[in-house]
Formats: sequence, structure tokens, C-alpha cells
Amino acid sequence: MLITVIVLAIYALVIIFDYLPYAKSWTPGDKAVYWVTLLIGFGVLFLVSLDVKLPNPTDGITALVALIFPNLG
Amino acid sequence: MIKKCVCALLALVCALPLAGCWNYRGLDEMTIVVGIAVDKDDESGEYEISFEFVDLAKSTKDEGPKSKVIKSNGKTIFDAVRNAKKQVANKLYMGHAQLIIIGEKVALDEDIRAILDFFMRDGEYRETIHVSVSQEDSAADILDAEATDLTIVSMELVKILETDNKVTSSTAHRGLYEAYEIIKTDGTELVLPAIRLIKEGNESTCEVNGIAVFKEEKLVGYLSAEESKYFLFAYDDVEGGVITFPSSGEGEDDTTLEITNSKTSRSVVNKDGKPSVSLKVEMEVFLNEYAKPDSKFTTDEIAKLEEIAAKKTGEGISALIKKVQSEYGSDIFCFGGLVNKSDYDMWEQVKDDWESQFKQLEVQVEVKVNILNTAYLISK
Amino acid sequence: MKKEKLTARQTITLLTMFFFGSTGVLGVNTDVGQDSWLAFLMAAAIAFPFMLMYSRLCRLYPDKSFFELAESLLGKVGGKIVVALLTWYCLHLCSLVMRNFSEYIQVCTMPETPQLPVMLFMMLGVVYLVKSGVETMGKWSVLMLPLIVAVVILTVLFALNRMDFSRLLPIARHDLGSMANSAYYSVMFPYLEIIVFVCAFSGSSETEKPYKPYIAAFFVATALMLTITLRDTMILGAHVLDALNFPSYVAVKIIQIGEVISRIEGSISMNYILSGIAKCSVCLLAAAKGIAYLFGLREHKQFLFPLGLLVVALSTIVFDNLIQMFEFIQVYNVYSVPFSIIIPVLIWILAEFKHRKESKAQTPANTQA
Repeated sequence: MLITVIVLAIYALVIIFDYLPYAKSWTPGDKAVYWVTLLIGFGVLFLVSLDVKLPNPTDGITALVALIFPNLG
Repeated sequence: MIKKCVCALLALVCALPLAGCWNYRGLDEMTIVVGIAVDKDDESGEYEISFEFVDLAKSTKDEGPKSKVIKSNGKTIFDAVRNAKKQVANKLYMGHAQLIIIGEKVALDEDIRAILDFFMRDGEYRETIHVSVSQEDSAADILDAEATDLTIVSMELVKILETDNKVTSSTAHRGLYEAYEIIKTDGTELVLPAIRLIKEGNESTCEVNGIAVFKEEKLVGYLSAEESKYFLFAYDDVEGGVITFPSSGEGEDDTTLEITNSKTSRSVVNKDGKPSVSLKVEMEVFLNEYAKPDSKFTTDEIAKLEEIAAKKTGEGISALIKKVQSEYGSDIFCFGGLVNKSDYDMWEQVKDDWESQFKQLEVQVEVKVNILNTAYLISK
Repeated sequence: MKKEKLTARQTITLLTMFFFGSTGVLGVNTDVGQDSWLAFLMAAAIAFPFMLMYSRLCRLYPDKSFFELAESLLGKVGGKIVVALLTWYCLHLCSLVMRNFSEYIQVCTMPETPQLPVMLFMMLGVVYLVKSGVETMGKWSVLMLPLIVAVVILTVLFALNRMDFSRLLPIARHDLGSMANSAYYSVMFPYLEIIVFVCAFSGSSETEKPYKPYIAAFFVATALMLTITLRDTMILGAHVLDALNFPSYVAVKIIQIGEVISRIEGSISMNYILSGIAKCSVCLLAAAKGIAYLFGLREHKQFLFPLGLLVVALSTIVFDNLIQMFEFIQVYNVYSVPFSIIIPVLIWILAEFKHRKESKAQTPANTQA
């Protein structure tokens, strides 16, 4: 609960202090990249703070490596 | 202006984790444990852990810190540690724990590796905790005893153990991480100091009494204080202590030498594919007590005394090594480690079989005693 | 756009802190027990040619960043693929390093604090550092490295009464296979991660003489990590060293001189956090530059905050527990090969060919003129 609040607070602060003052001088490309990274990060952090189990990229990498070297991982 | 505000806010926000304020615990919310005694109840199979902690309420400036002992049970050691919270208001804090006393029964029956594993694994214990074995029925009896010099038993015992090899050379002391390393290394077996109680009427005080010998992970026996001195010579761990011997070579001991410096050179020689250990003890002593009245000392007489002392020490060391070889078969002198470090190829041949190799190991002991002075008196 | 540059001295200090980054915390590979330091030296010897290779790359094309070089050698599509791969690698590495540090903090220093706030605050510092620009990063590292070195030297001096040289014996008695295996770990992690540093700073460091900074940093970092490994082995012994998750921390815990000098393990926590911030900031800068390059943006500084938070998000999901983190090191040995060996060597070979073609094309023109 506390952690969710912290996550929300930090994202709010980032948007207020980092985006709003400077967004006028940005190209649409800048804004697009900004929002995409922001939203992906926010989605993951929000879900993690609510203890939702998300897929683990390490498992994927380990599986890939195991194709070449079956004895690892 | 707004930038300054943001900077100030940022600095404040960053300062929060610096103090570790997430889980703040005040000093008065902690129960500071100094000594831990590990016992096991035969009937229930549960661990009985006793904690000696500093009683902050009763401790005064004049009388010094006072201690209290509580006992708690649990299926495993950590279980018992947590169960202690059922009796105390504040959670136990182990960061200052200095002594672990393992009961004799536990050392005989249980795997000491399991006990050491818990204390190493848990982050709150310092790795320099001293580990010892109690010769009484239960380790808790040691903590219940009266401390003589200091007011807390555990701290007194730790002080005794740390200064022992400079003063009496009657026991060895092992920190937790040292014990752990020894247990895990091939070619050496663990020794721990042994503690007993001296009962006088109703009161009992504790005394350090020699060494507890382990083989693999279990206790197999004890060495007396005198034998422990010879053990320390073989291990090259003597920094002080006292040697007594009869000045005429036979009869009662009447002369005392105070050791100021002692060095044992340990080496391994390859004799027909088998290792043969050679110990050369060289010590510098002061003649501190001489009971027979006579005329002044001459260098010849001093040399004779040196010879007698050297002979007695050498015989003592050899006898101890033979005793350990035959009775316990446990390489507490780290001869296996010696072979490993100085002649690795030979170690490769003998390491699988080291137990039986140790029992037949040939050890040559040479002792040299140098009497530097006779203290204040020149005459005898 | 003003080109930001790192001076040679700043390159040395930042690169040293980058190498020291997570290896200080996790320790070098300890499979070979008391010979870990020797395996580490082997790793240094194996990694040295790569340092020369990167210096040579900088020498060949000093004005081009690594990404621009990739595009000019492999064409637009090939270049974009390479940049995308490297950007993912930098992002992933940043999150791995973040996770290393927050696990270290949780296990050793603050067990009851949840990891997410720790990571968030650390990332705040990292983002601010990167946003302040390359010169600030350089100047900061010039200030911090002497502190780190001083702490390491002090811990060694204070540990002298607990160190036992015989714990290093018998020396070099492990077979070459296991030593090489252990060395390989140290080659991949940290040495070959220099690709991240090159991505971040190529085209923006004083590259007239690139050999000196890279090689100097290599030697300083090797000396630092060797000192730490030797100190830990001599204090703890081979078996305890191998058994511990974080051996340096425990080794410094043991240090005690009298009553005053004890419990100094907080100082090496400070060391690690500083070098962790350095490593994270370099990785983040490389990732930001990669993304800016991929999407044709002119500035990389705008989206550093969301990117940093994305890295934190990634680090929360990348490992389930501490054991998986240590197990992953084996997988990492294979997984990082394309990013840290194949791509750089490929780029270098193509760059050499192109350079040779260009210089051949020039000489006939010179003789004619």
C-alpha cells in the first residue's frame, strides 16, 4: 500500500516537474518516446507494488541459452 | 526560485533513506543479547536456547551493567530465538552477542555444522563471535553462574578466552568464521574451548578448562588444561604461559619458567612417499620461581635447566600427539593442512585416506628453551 | 549542438569506477577457492586485448560515436539492428546492476526495508547525474575515485592483524580447466562490459590518445579488485569465501583493532553505492543515447527520468530471488557474448577494412597531386 503510494507520487512528481515545464519545446517524436517509456515503467511498477506476478525476462533468456547449452541454468 | 525549492525537496527526499528510517528501532526497544547457550531437550527434541542479555533497568553507573538470562524453546535454533519474543517486550538484538556456548550433549549428538551454519547465515550475528563447549550438564548453567571480575558472565568468558594464550596457554579460542573454515577444510579438525563450573556452596563461577576435541562434526573428547598447553605448542599458538618442571630432572615440579616468546616451526618431509612432520619449538623464557635454596646460578646450571625443561616439554608434546592419534584419531593439529600447503603433490596422494594416515603419522618434536634472565634475584 | 567531452583523467576515473561497479559487491568468481585472485589475473590478461581493440576503434574514427560507426559500416538497417540490440543490453545491464545493489542492501545492511524504495531513490541520484551532463559525470568520478581507493587501502591496513598469508596456500594447484572457467566469468563481468562505456562516451572523449585512459583505467581497476580479493581470501579462508554471498562485506565485518576500529563495514557499503551509481549512470547514458539514435531524436536528456524509472521497473521483475541472481551469472556468460564480443569485434574488423580502403583511396590522389 505504502509502496503504491510512493510509486504514484514519484510518477506524479516526474510529470509535474519534468514534463510540463519543458514539453512545449519538444517535437512529437520526443513526446512519444517520453510517454511510451513512462507508461511502460509506470505499468510495471504499479503492478509490482500491488504484488501482481509479472513474467520474468530472465526465464526467457535462460530458456534461449539452454537451447545452445543444455546443461546451464 | 522554483529550482531552489525543487533542489531542497530533492535533497530532503534523498536524505530519507540515508538514515534507514524505514525500520527505525530505538536503543530502548532492543534487548541486547551478549551470550547464547545452546541445549537440546532429549524428550521433546526441541532446542532450548538461553540468552544472557544486558538488563538496562537494573544496570547502574556504580555497579556496572547487570545481566539477565531467559530461556526459550523451539524446533530449530532460529525458531527458539524468535520464540524468545514471547517472553520479552523488545525484540532480541544479536549484534553485540559475543559468546556461543554449546552444551555437551548437543556437541556429542548433533552436527555442529548445523549450529555454525545458522549463526553464520543470519546477518545479525558478528562473525567474530567466540564459540565454546560447556562441560556441565547444560550450557545454560554457565550463563546462570556468577561472574567474578566483570558483571556479565559472557563478557568475562570472552575476555578470558581472548587473553588466554598470552597468559596461561590453557585453551584455544575460535571465532565463528574460523570454526566454520576449519570444519569445511579437509585435513584439519575443530577444537573449541571447554568451560566448566566451580561450585562453592551455593555459588558457582565459571572457569575455562582445556579444549574440546571434535572429529568431523561431533565432539569426541576433551584435553585437560595441561594437555592443551602442549596442543598450543604443536599449533604454534603460544604467546605466554608458564612451564613447570623439577630442577633435578625427577620428582616434583619446583621450577617455573615464564614464556615471553614462543615459535614453533612446523614442516613436512617426504619419507618414502609418506609424510613425516617435524616440529621445532623455540621459546624464550624468564626463570621466575626456583624452590631449592643454594648458591648463585651459573651458565652451566642454566643450560642444564634449559635442557630439562626442553626435554619435559618435548615429551609432553609427543605424548599428547600420540594420545590424540590413538584415542581420538582426529587431526586437530592441522597436520593435514600443513601437508596441503607445503607439499601439494603428497597431499593429493594421502588426502583420501588422511584419517588413517594421521593415526600412523610420524611426528618429531624438538624443543629449545632459552632462559633469558632470572628476574630480580641472581641467587637461587 | 555543443559536444560534451570527457578529459583523459575523467575517462580513467569513470571507467575505473565502472569496472569496479558490481564486481566489488558480488566479488570475483570464487569457484577455485584460494586461487580466485590468480584466476582473476588470468581474466585480466585475457581481457587486455579487448581494451586495445576499443582504443584502436576510437583512434580510427575519433569523431564518430559507436552507433554512427555501426550505421556507416552496416548500412541503415544493419546499424539500427545493432543499436537496438546494444540499447537493450545497456538497459538490461543497468537493471541487473540496480538489482545487485538493492539485493546487497537488503541482505547485508537493511533487511527490513523493501527494495523498491531503495532502488527508486538510487535511480533518482543516477538520473540527476546523467542529466547534469557528461562533464559533471567526469568531474564527479574524479572526486569519488580517490575516496574509494582510500577506503580500500584503509580496510587492508586495518585488516593486517586478521590476515593470514597461509590462507592463500597452496598456490596454483587447481587444474587449468577450472581456473580458465573461473577466469571466463571475470572476463565477461566486468571487463567486457566496456562496450557500454564505449557506446556512452565514444565521440565525446578526448580521443587523440585513447590508449592511455583505457589502459590506465584497466590497470587501476584490476589492482583494486585484486587487492580486495586477496584481502578477503587472507581474512576469511577459501571455504568461507566460497560459501558467502557477499564475501567482502563479511571480511570487513571481521576487522577489529582494539576497541575503536571495528564495525567499519558501513564504509565499504558507501564504496559500493558510489561505484554502483557510476556504473548505472554510464549504462543509462548509453541506453538513452541509443534510444535517441534509433528514433532520430536530437537530444537524449529529455526522457531520462522515465527511462530511469523503466530500469527500476525492469529490475523489480528481472529476478525472483537472490539465488536466481547468482545462478544467472552462468547464463550471463553466454547471453552477453553477442553484445560484448560478437558485435564489437565485427564492428572493429569492418572498421579496419573501411579505414584501409579509405587510406588506399587517398594515396593515389596524393601521388597524383
